[in-house]
Amino acid sequence: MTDATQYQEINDLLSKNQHYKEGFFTRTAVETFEKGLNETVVRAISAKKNEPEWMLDFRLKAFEHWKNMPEPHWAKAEYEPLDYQDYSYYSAPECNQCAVGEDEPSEQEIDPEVAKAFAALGVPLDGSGDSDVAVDAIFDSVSVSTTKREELSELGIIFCSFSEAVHDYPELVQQYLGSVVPYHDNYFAALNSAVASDGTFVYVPEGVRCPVDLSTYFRINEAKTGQFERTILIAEKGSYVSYLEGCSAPVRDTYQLHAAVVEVIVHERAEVKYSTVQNWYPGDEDCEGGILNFVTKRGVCEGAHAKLSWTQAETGSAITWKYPSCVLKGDHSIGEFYSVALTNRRQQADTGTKMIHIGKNTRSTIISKGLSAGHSDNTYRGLVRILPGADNARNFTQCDSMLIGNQCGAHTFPYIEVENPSAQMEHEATTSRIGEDQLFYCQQRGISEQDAISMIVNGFCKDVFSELPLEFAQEAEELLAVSLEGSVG
Amino acid sequence: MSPKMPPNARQLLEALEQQSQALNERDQDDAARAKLVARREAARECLNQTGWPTRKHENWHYTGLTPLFESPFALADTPDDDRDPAETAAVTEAMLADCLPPFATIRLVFVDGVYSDSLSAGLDAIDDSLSIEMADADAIQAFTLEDLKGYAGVQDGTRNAARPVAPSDQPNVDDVFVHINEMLLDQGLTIRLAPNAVLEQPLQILQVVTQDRKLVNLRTQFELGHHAQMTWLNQVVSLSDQPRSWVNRLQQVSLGEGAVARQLDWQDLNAQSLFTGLTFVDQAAHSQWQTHSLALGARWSRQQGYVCLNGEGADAEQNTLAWVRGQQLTDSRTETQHGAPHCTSRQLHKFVVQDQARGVFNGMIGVARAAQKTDGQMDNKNLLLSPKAKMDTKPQLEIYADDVACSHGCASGEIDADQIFYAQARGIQRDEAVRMITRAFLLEPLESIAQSAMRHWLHDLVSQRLAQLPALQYLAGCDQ
Repeated sequence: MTDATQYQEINDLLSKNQHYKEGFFTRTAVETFEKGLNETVVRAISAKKNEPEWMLDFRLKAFEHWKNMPEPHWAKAEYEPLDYQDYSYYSAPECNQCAVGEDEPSEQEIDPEVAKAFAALGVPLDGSGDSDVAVDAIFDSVSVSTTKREELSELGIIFCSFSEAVHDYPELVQQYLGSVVPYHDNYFAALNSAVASDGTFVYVPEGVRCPVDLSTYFRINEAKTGQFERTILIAEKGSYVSYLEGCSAPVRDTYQLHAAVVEVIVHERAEVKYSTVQNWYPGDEDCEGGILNFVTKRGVCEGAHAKLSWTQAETGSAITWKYPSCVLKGDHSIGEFYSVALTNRRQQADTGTKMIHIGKNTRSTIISKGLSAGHSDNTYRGLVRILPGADNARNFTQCDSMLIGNQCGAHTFPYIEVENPSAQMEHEATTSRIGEDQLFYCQQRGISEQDAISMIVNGFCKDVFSELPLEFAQEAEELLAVSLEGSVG
Repeated sequence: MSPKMPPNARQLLEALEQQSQALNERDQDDAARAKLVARREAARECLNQTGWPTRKHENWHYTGLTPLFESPFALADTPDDDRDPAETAAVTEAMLADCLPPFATIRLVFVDGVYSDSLSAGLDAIDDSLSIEMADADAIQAFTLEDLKGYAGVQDGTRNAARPVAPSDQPNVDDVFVHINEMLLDQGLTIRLAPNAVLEQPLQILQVVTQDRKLVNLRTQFELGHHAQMTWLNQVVSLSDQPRSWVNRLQQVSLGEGAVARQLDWQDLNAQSLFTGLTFVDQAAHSQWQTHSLALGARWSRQQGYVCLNGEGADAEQNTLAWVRGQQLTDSRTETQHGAPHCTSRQLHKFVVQDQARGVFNGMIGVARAAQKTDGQMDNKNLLLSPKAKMDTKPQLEIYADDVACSHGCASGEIDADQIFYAQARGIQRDEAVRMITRAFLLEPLESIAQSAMRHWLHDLVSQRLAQLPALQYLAGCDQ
C-alpha cells in the first residue's frame, strides 16, 4: 500500500488520537495565503473571489471596526489572547479554485483527494446516491461542491455556496447580509465579516416545503488556517426547510480558528429547523491543538407564527463559544433551542442561547443537556429577555448537567430579564452524575460498563436527540459514545 | 491614576476619600489605632484604582449606581460630648414602636451609628458568655478582612480566573462598598458568644438613621464559639420620609464547630435612602446559618450574602422577601461556596415588583472539587404586578465535584387569572383577592422561622404593609 507509507506520519499521529477518527489530513495541492491579517489580505480575499464592490466595502468596514475592538474573554474558558497574524486567512485546493469564477463550475473538477476526503467522512458528493440530503461541501475557504441543485431549483429553492450567491443573487445577499448579525455585533462576527471565506446560501421561496434536508459539511484541512464561513438562510412566507451542518478537522498540535456567522431569517408562518453536529478536533490530552470554535448564530422570526428551531450536538472543539439565538419579533412566533454539549479531556465549552421576546404571544423552549468528563469545563450561558411589548410571552428553560468523573466542572449561568408582567417564564437547572446503582443494574444484566454509560448518557440526552433528523441523531449518538471512551476508568 | 467617571461620581468618591483622610489625621498620633490608619490607607488605594463599577462589570450589569451619585454624602455627625444621640436627634422610644417585637430581646439601639443608652433595653439578660464591644480600638482593629477565610473573589472576573475553585486562605475581597467601609472604619460592634453558650433571648440591633445626606458606615462582627447558639435581629430603619441617608454595612460572621446562628435582616429605609450591605459568613463543620432578609424600603438597595461552607456537614439557609415598588431598585444577591463535603444549602428568594420598580436577583452556588455530597438548592420566584415592573435574575451554578445534587429554579410572572377567579367566585373582591394572593406569595420565606413569636410578629408586620397595597389598575388576563 503506497497510501500507507505516504500517510505513515499521519497514521502515527492518529494512533495517538484514536478517538478522533476524522483526524486525517488530506494532501493535495492548495493555494494558501501567507499568514497575517491586514487590509491587503482582506482585499486579496475579495479579489480572489472576484467579488463586487459592495461586498468589498462590507469587508473593509468590518475590518476597520474589528481593529478597534478588544478580544472578548468573558467566556468561562481560558485561552491565551490569539495572535491573529499567525493564521492564514485563505486556503483552497488549487484544482477546484480554478473553477471558481468561471462560468460553469462543474463537479468533475473536484480535486480527487478532496473528494476522497469527503468520501471518508461519509459525505456523498456525487449526489447520485439515494440519500435524501442535498450537500454543500466546504473545504477550508471554498465550497467544493453542491449537490442536488437542479432538483431544488425546480422548486425555486436556491442552495449554493455563499460566493456563488454573491455573484448570482446580489440583491438577496445585499438585502440580508448583516441584517441579523451586523458587522459590528461582536469581535468574532466583525472578524468574520472582514475575512468571510465561504459558506452556504439558502433561499426557500414562499409556500415551498423543501423536500430534502439541506446540509453543509465543513472541513478545515490546512494547518494554521482559519475558517470563517458565512451562512445565510432565508425562509419566505409559509415555507419550511430543515438544514443540517457537520464539521471536522485534522489532528493538529496548534489551535485552529473557526469563527462562523450564521444568519437565519424566518418570515410569516415559515419554519426553519437548523441542526448542527459539531465535531471539530478537540485537542489532545494535554490541551494541545484543537479548534477554537467562536460562532455567532442568530435567527429572526420576522413574521407572525414563524418558527425557528436550533438543535445542536456539540462534541468537539477545544473551546466552544456559541450562542444560537432567536429574535422573536413576529407575534405568536416560536423559538426553540435543543442542545447536547459534551466535553472531555481538556475541552472548554461555553454555550447556550438567547431568546429575545419582542412580539406578543411569543414562545420559547430551551432544553440544554451538558455532559462533562475528564478535565473539561462545560458551561451553559443563556439569556431570556422579555421586552415590555411581549404580552403573554412564555418561556420554559431546562438545563441539566451531568458530571462524569471528579476532575471536571459543570456550570450554569442563566440571565433572565422580564419586563412584562403577563409573561411567564420558568427556569430549572439540575446537576447530577451517573448513579452507581444505575451502572450496577446494567452490569448485572451483562452490559459492559462502557455500554451502560453510553446507554445512560443517551437516555439523558434523549429529549434533544429526538429533535435531530434521523441520520444525524444516529451520528450524534455514536459520537457521544466515542467521545466518552476512556472517561470512566 | 483613577479611572474615568462622571463628575458627580468623582465628587462623591473624592468626598469619601477626604473623610477617610480626616479620620486618619485625627488618629495619626494614636498608637493604638496605627493599624487602623494603615488599613484605611490601603482601602483608599484600592478604591482609587478601581473607581466605581459600571454596568459593564458583570456584577453590576443590572444595577446602575446613578441614584448614589444624585447628591453627595458626608459621614454622619456624631455628638461631640457624651450626650445620648437619641437626645440630639430627638428620637423617643415611642417612635420606635413599630420596630419593637412583642417578645423580650436584648435591645441595642443606635442612632446614626452611635449607641444610645436611653433607647436600649434588656441588657440585664446579658451574661458572662456574651461579650459586646463597641468602638474599642482593639476590637475595631480585630476586624480584619483576612478573617474572611475561604472567600475567593467578590468581584467579577477575579474568581473566574482561579481554577479550580477551592477555598483559598487568601481573601480576595474586592468590592467597592467593602473598600468604602474599610476606608471609613471608625466605629464597630463586636459580638462574641462563648463556646456551648445558648443565648435564649434574641439580640436586637436597631439602627435608626435620621440625618439628611449622611452616610452611616457600619461594621459588625459576630463570633460564635463551638456549639454556641444565638438569634439576632438586624434592623435598619428611617423614622420619617425626610432624610436621604445612605447606610453601608459590612458584617462578618464566624461560626465555630456546631454553632447555630439565625439572623433576621430587616431593611426599611425611606423611599429616598440608599442601602448597601454585605454579609460574609464563614462556617465550620456542622454549624448552621439561617438568614431571612426582608427588603422593604430604600430607593436603591443592594444586599449581598457570601456564605463559605468550610467545614464538613455545615448547613446554610438563605431567604429573601422583597417588596419593591414606586421607583425602587432592590438588588439581592447570594454567593454560596461549598468548600467541604456533606454540606447543605437552601435558598428561597421571593420578589413582588410593582409600579416602575426593578428587582434584581443574583445567586451563585459554587461547589469545590472537595465538596462531594453537596446538596444545594436555590429558588427564586417573582411576581410582577404592573406593566412597567422589571425583574432581572441570574441564578447560577458552578460545580467541580461530581457527586452532588444541585439545582436552581426560577420563575417570573403575574398572578394567575384562575386564582383570582377562584377567589372572586367565592365572593372575595378582586382587589382583596390580589392582596391575599400576593401576601401568601410573599410570606412563604418566613415559614422556616422556627421561633413562632418571631414568625408571627413578622407575618403581621408584612401583612399590615401589604394591606396598603393599592388597587391594581392592571392585570392581564382579567381586564375589566
